[in-house]
Amino acid sequence: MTQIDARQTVPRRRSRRERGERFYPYLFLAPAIVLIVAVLAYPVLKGIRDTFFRIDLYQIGEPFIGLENYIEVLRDPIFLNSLTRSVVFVVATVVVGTAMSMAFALALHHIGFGTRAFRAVSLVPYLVSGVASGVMFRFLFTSEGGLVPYVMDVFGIESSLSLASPAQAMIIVIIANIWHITPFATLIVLGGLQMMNKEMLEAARIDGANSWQSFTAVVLPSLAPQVALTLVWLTFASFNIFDLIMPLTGGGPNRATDVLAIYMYSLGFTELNYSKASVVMVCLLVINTALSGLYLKIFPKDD
Amino acid sequence: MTTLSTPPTRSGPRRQSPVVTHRAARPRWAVAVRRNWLATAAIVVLMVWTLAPFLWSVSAAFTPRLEIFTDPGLIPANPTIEAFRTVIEFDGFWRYLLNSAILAVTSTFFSVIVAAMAGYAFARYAFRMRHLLLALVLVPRLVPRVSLVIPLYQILERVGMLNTYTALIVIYTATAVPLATWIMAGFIRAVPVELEEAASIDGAGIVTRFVRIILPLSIPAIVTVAVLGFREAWNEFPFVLAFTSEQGMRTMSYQLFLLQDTLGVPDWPVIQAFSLMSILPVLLIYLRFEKKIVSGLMGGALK
Amino acid sequence: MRRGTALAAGLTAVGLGLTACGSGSGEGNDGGAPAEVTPAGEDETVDITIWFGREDFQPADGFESFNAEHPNINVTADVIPLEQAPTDFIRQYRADDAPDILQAPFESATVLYAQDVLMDITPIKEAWAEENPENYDALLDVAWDVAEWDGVPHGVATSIGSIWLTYRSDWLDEAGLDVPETYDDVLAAAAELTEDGRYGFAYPGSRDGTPMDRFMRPFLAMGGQVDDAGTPQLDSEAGVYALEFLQELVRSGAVSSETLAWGHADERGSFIGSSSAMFHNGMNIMPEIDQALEYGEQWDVAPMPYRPGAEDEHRATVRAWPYYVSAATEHPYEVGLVLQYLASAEVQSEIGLRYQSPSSAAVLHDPAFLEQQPWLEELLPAVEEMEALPVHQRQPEVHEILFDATQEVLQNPDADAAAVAATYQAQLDALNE
Repeated sequence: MTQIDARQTVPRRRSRRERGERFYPYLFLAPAIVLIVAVLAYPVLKGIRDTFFRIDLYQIGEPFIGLENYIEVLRDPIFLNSLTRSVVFVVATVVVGTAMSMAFALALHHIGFGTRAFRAVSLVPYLVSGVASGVMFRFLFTSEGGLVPYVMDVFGIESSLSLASPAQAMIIVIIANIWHITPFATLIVLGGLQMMNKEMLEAARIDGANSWQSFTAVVLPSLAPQVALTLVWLTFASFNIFDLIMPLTGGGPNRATDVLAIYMYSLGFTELNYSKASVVMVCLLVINTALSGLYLKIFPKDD
Repeated sequence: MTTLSTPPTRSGPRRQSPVVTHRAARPRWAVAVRRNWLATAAIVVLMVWTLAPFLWSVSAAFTPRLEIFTDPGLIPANPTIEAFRTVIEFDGFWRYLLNSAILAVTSTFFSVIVAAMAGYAFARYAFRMRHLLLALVLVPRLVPRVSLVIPLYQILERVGMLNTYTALIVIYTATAVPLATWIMAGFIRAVPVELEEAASIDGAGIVTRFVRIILPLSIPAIVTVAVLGFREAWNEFPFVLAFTSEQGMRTMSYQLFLLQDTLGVPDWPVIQAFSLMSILPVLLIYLRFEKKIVSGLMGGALK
Repeated sequence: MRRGTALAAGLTAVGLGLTACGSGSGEGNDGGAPAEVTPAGEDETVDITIWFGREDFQPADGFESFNAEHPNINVTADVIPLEQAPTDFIRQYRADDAPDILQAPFESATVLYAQDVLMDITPIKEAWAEENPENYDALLDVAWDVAEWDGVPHGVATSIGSIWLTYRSDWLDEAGLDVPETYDDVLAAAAELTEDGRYGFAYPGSRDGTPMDRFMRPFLAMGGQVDDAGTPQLDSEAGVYALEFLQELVRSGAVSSETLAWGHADERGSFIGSSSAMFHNGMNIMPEIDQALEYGEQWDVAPMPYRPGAEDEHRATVRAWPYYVSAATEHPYEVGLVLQYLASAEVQSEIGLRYQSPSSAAVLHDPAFLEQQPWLEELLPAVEEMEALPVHQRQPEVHEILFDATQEVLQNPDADAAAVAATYQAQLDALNE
């Protein structure tokens, strides 16, 4: 956060008007700060506070109960199920998504013709809403009329992926999520490739490195910041997934895709237990913060 | 992109034969495909992977309802626009479209203004609390939107603002501001300070400089921020799902989600037609501003 | 720096303002106390606000005939979705802006009881019985029972929902099978009727809606019991049988292999599209089936089956969307008149023909009504014996647990049903601690 240095500051002349202007920066910031405090900060603080009270619509009053909500939620097998599902979902998305975004970015970088058109098309899923993606993928995998069963049938493959099978539903949700969120990651990596120092590549080639060696020795290390960003982006977007899963599986079958955000929503709006839902919210926040700290440690920023 | 197709410095023996005329006769892509079959294959995979869900969806939208089950295939045997007609004549369709447009346009408008002001303050002025305020803008990026649903619902419920445009517009604006401010600040920092100094000597105050110099010069960043904000607000789902219950407040995303169940037996052509129509506005905007958006994303957003 | 301070002060004010709103007028009215029920003065105009849970529940005449009879009562109707109505109502009640009458699903009214925002309508009932006995006497007992809590009446249901075994009579005849009377018969018939492209039974295994129609009511029909708190006794003989019934459907291939992802729409669609032979079906869907298939020739209905040997424990149950009366209403007498109008034979029959079943015996026995819904005739004896589906105070949590239990057995047809029942019984019992 040290980008703002003195050099870029408008030099101060001591005219009367200038002195009056000293407060303008605060004024320029005020709307942003008010919005962020009222809509983002205050609710988060309120949510954290609520976890120490019992707030559910089946009783009158909001008694203070200390850590009881945390104990109940953290012991609840359904919460633990959601946590596990979330981890599986995120790890699979991040591993496959990172690999795919690197492969696609390299392809876009090296194709040599129609690059702009291909790049433009590849970013389209990023524009599609999570709900629409979910709806489209549900149709792709629906047993009667879906593309995947149809293609499987053409190739004479009996078994197909089905949204009714818990294990397979998770795979479908992961595929849909990768489709939806890797385009942005691809763009990040592509940006890194295009900024890469070409002389180093040349030097490696002159030293007799084959393309795989120069990829691992030169390309990968210089892509580290972009890969880090990709990891952060894929992890965050996946951990907090909601839009895509609701229309696709609704968390089912049998809670197989009941990731944390979906579970939180049903605690709040089906069981009307706001304080327990807030506990799940705090968990999401803690995980997000811990992960970003972790990524910062693994990939120290080099500017 | 010309750098991408630079021929290798050490040409193989085959390349030394005088086939220059032959090569010139062949189109550029054919050369690239030959030289770079791996990238080409990856691009083919990328295109199929990206477009298959769309194509299947488009195909279904033009297929008569029962043919989906009896005669699946990419090209409908009896194409029809019946599904699109049903969608347009859908009770409340125009209302949902209008709601999405109102929310997306107004929240984008406000978030651009708020973010441009805040970004300017960050980029140009060193002042007390700067680091604190910067953190206030950056930390919310760690807060997943979906985690705000529960506390915001309770707050809106208590102030009686569920089912209002105001609440959603304020929330959409606020959630868009942190990233938008980040992008704007990064861009404005690159605008030469000298331009402002010159204007300042001519007697222009800070507001004049902001409106006359900074804003016009920041158009590329503003376009990026605006399209990102529009996409986010247009596609938003968890907030409308939680904070509205009246039919008159539904957006395209919300209705698309409900469509799957309210139709009774799933009417895939209508669902896919609705899904495509919900995507269309964002897609059109993207196609119009594709170059600016991609470079904006690769530049500002990723740093 | 002064302006900076002002900014900070402003922010604090925003925060405080929002917090202050949190402590709104919490316990304004104490609901529950029987109110005086006397008509307003002759020349006084009375405003009554009512929330309907669905557009379709509104009488077609838009209270025209009611207004003609009671020119001094001005009824304002609003549609607040059933799912939203209880929480919206509580909020409005706290803001002293609640409607006089709200319609809500009877199973989610427990939150209204818990918040003590509903009126004890005993006086309204008494006035009704006295002044409009014909209308009052025609209502089935269950119309009141569904809106009672701890023996106190809080509302009345003018539409009730019931489910029935609905089957393809033509296919049963073809296979030489009798109409199933027990769930063992259902399993046998389902296996027998299953063939290529056709399922013997349609069962929605997903989590859409509630598990009331897909589990609670079959469970009670099998002789399942609930305790005084409304907790289903899953680990009973009937409970294990109910879970094993689902497992057998999956094992025998009588239900779709995708049953775990099926919602009610898939279930209905499968029967209407001639892909399934039987299902548990709501009375309100029958007209839709009647349009696709020939009643009597192709499809027919039967009372819910029972568990072999447990015929006496069989219970036929209804769910409902009663009209509840706000504890804050200032005009209980006029509210009573509105309810009487909604319960009248004319309104019930009009809504019954296009939407949900009436709760008035007068309408149910009306030849004109039966002519439109011929399947009703053979069900009438069973309809009149139906009782309210029992609910737990934390019914939504009961539903989640029942969803978990049913999905677990559907996913693991070979699991030990008794063990599954014991696991989820423990969770259900934990709700009462």
